[in-house]
Amino acid sequence: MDGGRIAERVGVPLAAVVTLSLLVVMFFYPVGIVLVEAVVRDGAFTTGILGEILGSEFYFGDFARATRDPSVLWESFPDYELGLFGFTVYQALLSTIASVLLGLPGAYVLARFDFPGRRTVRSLTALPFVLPSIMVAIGFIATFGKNGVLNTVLRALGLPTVELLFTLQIIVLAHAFYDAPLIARVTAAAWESVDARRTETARSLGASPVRAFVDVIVPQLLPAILTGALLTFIFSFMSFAIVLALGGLELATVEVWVYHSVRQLDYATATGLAVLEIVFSLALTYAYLRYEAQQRAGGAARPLPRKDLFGPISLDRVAVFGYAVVATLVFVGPIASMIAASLTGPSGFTLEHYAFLVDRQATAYEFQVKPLTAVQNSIVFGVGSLLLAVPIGVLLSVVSTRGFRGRKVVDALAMAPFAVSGVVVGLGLLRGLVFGIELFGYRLTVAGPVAIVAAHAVGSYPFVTRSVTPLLARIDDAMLESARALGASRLRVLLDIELPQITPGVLAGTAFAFALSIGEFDSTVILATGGSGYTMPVAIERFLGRRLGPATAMGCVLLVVTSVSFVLIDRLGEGSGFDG
Amino acid sequence: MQRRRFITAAGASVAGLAAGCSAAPTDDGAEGTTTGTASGGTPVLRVGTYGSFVDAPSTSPGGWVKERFESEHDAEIRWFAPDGEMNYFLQRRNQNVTIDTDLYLGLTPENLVQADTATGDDSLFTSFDTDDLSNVDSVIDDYRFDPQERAIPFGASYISLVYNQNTFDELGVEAPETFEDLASDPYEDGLLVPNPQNSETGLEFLFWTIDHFGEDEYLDYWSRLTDNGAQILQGWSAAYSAYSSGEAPMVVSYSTDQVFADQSGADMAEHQIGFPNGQGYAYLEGVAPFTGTDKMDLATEFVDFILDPEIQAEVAQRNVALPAVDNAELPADFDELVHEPEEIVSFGYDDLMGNMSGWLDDWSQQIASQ
Repeated sequence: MDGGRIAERVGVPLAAVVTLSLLVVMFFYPVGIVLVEAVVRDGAFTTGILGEILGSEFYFGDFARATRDPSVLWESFPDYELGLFGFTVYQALLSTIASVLLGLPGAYVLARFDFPGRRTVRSLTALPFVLPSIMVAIGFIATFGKNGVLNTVLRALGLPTVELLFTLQIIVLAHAFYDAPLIARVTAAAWESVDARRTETARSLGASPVRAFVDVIVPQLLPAILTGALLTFIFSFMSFAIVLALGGLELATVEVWVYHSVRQLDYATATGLAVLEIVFSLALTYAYLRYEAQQRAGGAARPLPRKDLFGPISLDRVAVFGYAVVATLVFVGPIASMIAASLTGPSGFTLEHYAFLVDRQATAYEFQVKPLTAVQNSIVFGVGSLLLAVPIGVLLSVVSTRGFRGRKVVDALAMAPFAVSGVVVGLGLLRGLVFGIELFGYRLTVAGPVAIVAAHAVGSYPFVTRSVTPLLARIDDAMLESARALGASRLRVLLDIELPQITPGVLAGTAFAFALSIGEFDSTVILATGGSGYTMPVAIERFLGRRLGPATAMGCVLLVVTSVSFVLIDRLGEGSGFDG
Repeated sequence: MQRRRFITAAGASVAGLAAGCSAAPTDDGAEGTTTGTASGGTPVLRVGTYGSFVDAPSTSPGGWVKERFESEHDAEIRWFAPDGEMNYFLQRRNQNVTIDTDLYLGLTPENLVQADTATGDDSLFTSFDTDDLSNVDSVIDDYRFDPQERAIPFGASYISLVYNQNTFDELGVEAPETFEDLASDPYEDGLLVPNPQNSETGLEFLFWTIDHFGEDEYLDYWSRLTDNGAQILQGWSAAYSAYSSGEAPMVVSYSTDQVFADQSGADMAEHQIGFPNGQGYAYLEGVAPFTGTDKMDLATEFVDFILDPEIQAEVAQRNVALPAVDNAELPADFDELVHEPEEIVSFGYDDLMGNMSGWLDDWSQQIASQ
């Protein structure tokens, strides 16, 4: 046997075992020991708490009432009282629609037009994910608030101003700020791998451009769009801090109550709610996966040609510029406002907030947060978690595209890190790993930098899996089979045939996984028990005070460091020779 | 690519083996890896506290307290500020894990009631022998909140309104003077409140309204307040930053606000202090030893040090708060910037016991159901 075969025999199962152990230690075990409280009371199995929540009008509104008196369903139609759960689903649905509407034109521009800085813009689509919610809230207030940029412009133009803050609209917009770029990126990756020959064939057979688009391109984009929509829905469904910061408690989501219950030490309610969140998210994921599995299409030997963005005036160019105005307001506005806040003091322009960071670096006590250490830790944890998350994500993707019974269940479970309440994961890490377990007179604990890296990897690999699977699923099985028949090892097939075709997806997944690691807060502070494992978001939180300056200055450091990282990741990925 | 795969597998297994795993014998008493004695045989006192006591963007007393105490005593202070604050220690106790910390600095009445409710008779805290605390008799009576004297008050602040006089001038209205004013027309969309679910500031503001309107009426007041456009935001930071951006002319914060405004040269008109009905709610901070500490003597010395009038004055200024003793002398300029209400409101231990979570739950459900 040659080396490749040995590596395959040993390497693939080994990688699978390592992946599985990592998931068990860093995720399923810690989450499991917490969630069990939802169904076990005083050592006995019970569905009491779940029943209580399902029957509660506070959580399920008219739907809970209907379990006792179904006539509510037609009598109050269509003005249902949604309850906390219903409202959470409703706002997530609106957020998903808004994100798709804002994201798709972005995908179109990225995939079909050429303009200076296109690759940089594409690299920066993951940027919103690194921003702590309080930074986004500050940026949003400065852009859409009473005295924000939007209202200032409207006033200058003599137009009526808008009151967006503390409304459902601003929450939906904030979710779109996070998730529309994700949809744009994932869809653009799929668009770039549409084979130009297929549209040309359709056109030569007499199809109109619209017809060719609907019949040839849309079916190939749909899995990616729906992947993005699914992730957006789940993230918005689990949203918590940004909802409370911009919308207020009157617009509370289920996750707000999970957190509230944990603070009140009411673990039964917290875990009961979390279980219902998981059931809902995973059911949705499963439904999507059933759909995805039916999709099979050819790969892209030759991508569609790009059009120059700057050229003679045409309908599509005008539309693109219109979109650019909206995108600038929604995506650039809040970030630019944050930069402006970091450079403003009571008497106008100032660099004092950056001087504060320099001063902290020089004079902080060893138990205080130093900006540069935070930068270093963030990068080390981010790179470390990528080295784990990318192979795990691709491996699970490969597994998920192989046909076997129950693979959709495995697939849905692989999405679990996104479907479990962040509050519950944090509690699990604290109890299961930091406090540890007692075995044979020893207390075993897991904490510190390596644990942080592992936790970040587990929290972010689903991005890689979900970005890669739609592309992998399109690879023609016949091609793989003939390669295997000609004697290529499984590994060779993966490297020579599969990887080159999924590179755009791997890169998109990598960027978002990296962003998630950089932006992660809870697992970082919980596992950094020594006090030295703090990252940039932790530093931002520490620097929040009466003035916005110090925290926003640290926020800008975060922006610069991650922007450079994203561009590097993409350039390195493309430089690896996989990208066309 | 074999190489790449190998690196992955190797990297992952290293992670598995060395993920900061540690195994410590459990029959080691309260000693963990971080307590005990420092290398030179100097005794170590591990003090739990909240983040901004040791690390805030403006000033924080932690560093100064450590240096000063260590210069006067043969001991080392080791600060420990877990993200979950008091909840972290309660979690450890609930999971039967050793506390590994000698005392907690920054204990509020709410913390104490929650801890006692969760632990029953087997209290998380024990008490000092107050005979060993030389200045304990000077602690202001209004600030004493623990009937069992486990928690010794070391500082206080007043929760108050912070308002923007410029906005009220533009609107041609006076600053509000009563709770009823806050729910009335001129102050529509005027108030930002940190969410009591996440913020001690907001929680004590809620208690203040319960003190004023009573258990039966406070929910009614809150529905008028939110109908008038009061907003309940994530936490103190979210509320205060929305206030700073001019989203509303009033925020629930602290009566020490002008000290910060003075430091940063802000417009004082934007940092006016309001005490509705002439009252302020006292935010109290205590220090208490964890049950099971083996450093009781050193912990007592530390608290004796913290209560010293000179140290009290210094900690108060660095924490931008008030001393808990009546014989600490604050510099005149600091004293002038810290406003005090005519009447102090504060729920003590017995008021809160058995009521706290019910009040908060009822209130939370009402707000979120709107």
